[in-house]
Amino acid sequence: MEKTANKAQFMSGNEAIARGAVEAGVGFCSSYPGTPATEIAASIMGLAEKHDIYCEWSVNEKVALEAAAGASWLGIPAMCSMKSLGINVASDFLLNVNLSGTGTGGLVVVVSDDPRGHSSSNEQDSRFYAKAAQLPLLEPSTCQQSKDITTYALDLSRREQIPVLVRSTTRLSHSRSLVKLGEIPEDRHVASQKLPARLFNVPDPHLRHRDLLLKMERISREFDVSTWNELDSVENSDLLLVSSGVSQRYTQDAIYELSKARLSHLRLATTHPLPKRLVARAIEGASRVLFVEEADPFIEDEIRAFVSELPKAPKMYGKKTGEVPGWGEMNSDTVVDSISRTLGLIKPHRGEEVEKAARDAEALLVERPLTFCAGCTHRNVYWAIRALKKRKKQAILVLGDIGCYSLGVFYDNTMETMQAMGSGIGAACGVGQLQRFGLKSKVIAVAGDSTFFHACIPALVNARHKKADLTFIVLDNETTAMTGFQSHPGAEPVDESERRVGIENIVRSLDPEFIVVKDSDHIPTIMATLEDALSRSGLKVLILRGVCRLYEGRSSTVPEGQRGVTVNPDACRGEKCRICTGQYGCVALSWDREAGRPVIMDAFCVKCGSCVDVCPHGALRRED
Amino acid sequence: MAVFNLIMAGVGGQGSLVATRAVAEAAIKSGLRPTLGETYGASRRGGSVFTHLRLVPDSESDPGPLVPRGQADAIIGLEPMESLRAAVAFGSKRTNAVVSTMPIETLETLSGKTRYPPVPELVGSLSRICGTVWSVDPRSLEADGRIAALNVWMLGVLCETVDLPVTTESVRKSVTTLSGSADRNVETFDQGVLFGQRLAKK
Repeated sequence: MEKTANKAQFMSGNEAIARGAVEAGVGFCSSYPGTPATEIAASIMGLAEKHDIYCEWSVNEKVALEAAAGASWLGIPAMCSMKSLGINVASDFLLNVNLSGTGTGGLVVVVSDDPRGHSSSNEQDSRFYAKAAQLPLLEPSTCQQSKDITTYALDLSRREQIPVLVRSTTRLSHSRSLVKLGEIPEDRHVASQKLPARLFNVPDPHLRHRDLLLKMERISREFDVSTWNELDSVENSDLLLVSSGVSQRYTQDAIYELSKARLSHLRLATTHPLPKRLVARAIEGASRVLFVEEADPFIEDEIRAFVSELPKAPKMYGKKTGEVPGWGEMNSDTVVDSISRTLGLIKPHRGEEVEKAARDAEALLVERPLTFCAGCTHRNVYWAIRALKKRKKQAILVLGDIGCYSLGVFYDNTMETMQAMGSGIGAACGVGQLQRFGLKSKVIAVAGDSTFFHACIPALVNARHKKADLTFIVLDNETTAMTGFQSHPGAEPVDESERRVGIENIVRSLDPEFIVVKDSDHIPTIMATLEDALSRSGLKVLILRGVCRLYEGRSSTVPEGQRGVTVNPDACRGEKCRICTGQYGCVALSWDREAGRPVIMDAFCVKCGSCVDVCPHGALRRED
Repeated sequence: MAVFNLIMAGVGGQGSLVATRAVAEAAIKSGLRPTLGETYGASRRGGSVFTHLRLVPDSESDPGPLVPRGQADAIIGLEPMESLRAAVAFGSKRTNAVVSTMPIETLETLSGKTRYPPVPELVGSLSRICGTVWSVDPRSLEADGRIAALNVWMLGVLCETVDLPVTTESVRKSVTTLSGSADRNVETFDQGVLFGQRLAKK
């Protein structure tokens, strides 16, 4: 028996999901990094060698899911984890394999949503994929349940031979509490030599659909009696609260705070298919029901539809009726406010004096926008683009992508679009055809290295094939920096299990009109190269090699003997200029108000020297 | 459910996660059940970072991972404006705040677009919201070239100025475990403890 069994460990929700998969005997794990889901696969990687698990950062979520299904088909228990936007990418395959089935291995798909979009380009509720694909969905509420329910999910998938979805959200994935561990099985996996029969839905996809619905009916009966769901009933309750996921805990906090109200609570974890018998029993005694969930009215819609089958309907409140906000992240306060609104209670507050002090204090607060790290080479590229935008008579349109360099939208709006992975070059394919309609502006698409592999290649091929007129800049820092330095095909191989796939080789094979590879630590070089590219027509590709200072900082901070940067007070034009701190804005440059000139903050400066070229007066220079 | 709520407020890169983790580990040893809400994403790129730690008796179920409005029992502020930002959301008369008075400017204040608010105004504002405010000048730490360890130093100050459900000794032990015995973090924590003791005597 595994020594750690029965011990309690302080774990994040993501670590607990990983542990649950390992306790279920997972043998194959694939993923593409994305906040807040990254640590799920990363944690399994930490246990992979010890427990004989194959683990990979796939090129994107669709390939990850396909690879995991491949393993499951041949009998190896598999898990595929991703962020909300990742399941959009994987959904094409998900809505095929749901009908064909996953064979005997078992396949759990974990998706971690990001309500409020703390680290996402949108706010979306991925639970609707469970409905679209007609698959079972589990929503754990605590770190303990995250572990336990993942183990159950793999078991359920094995039995029914369809993918099972587990949905987490940011605050569960990224919060930590005590988790009691279970045993890890020691048996090794053996792959089957044959694929299961009928891994295609043709010629009768509708009959496969029928079969899936029969499976879902069986699962619905299992969920009806499942102990993952719980009903906390109070006699003569004023209101029945129905919640799922981490919202269960916000609701419990709210019930504690509003101790005078009589509140029942139905805590759901198996949210698709709905455990109808339990829901019917809970609703039977209720005159009013309030739904608490993140981010869209998923359970609310399901229960509202189901109630129409019941003899008596309670009054129902939620996102549909406005008692609960239909957007943004939930927390205990939102639930307290929602209950108060529904029951007409005065919502608790801190007393007039403190509330007023807090309102007054808000006027003092200054926002702290996110920015590039000290010495980040992305800043140099945007600085150069912005300088050209200002200098050129022709406008330059910059279509962007997803990664650290997305911060370009906050850098004086230099990057102007940010949609899905790969959408910068994709949309540029369209914009780059509009010269025939009088478009004079130059078109630039920007993407990072990991994004290049994830979703840019089809669009780039399209641009070449259709002779789009655009400049594609790949900001290549050789790692998936945004999410914590995961490997990708263009990165230095982690070990012998990987082989490098060069971005330059791929681009050259398309034979663009112009291709250059340059370093992006020297601003004048970037400017000159970019100007050259923009003056040509057709497809131009610039691969600008950059350095992630955080990644570099992992091993050595600043190269031995590197000279720093100093400020020459005689050359500095002071307050009336302020280009260095006001426009370039490296976080290692501060401003000395008394002296009226910049100060280099040694604690942050990485001595890259890029700022030397930013000062038009030569006041920033390399130390002698 | 008697919950003790602690918020650590600061700017990305100040190490609030490590410091709150030390209190959480100490709480486990003291038979409590911690829930630690971590903030990622902004944590590396200069944004505001709040870390939420909630402690309940071991027999209780896990509370929500975020401290509710006005319910912070303690706020450790690694930066004055971020401390006030935390107090606006989570402070009330039940709150004891320990706050560093050393500002970290924002890009907007550096560019001259807006002004960084005067620190005495920030502290005054904090005092009107919170029950007690200990404002602490970490200049001695900066002079020593150890401002990067402000997180553990402030933790030491907190242990001696605010009534916590864990002892200074147990927090010290978990700082030792988390940072390794060769690390100077423990020494810095001890200095914070001494600083806090002197402050509490005044």
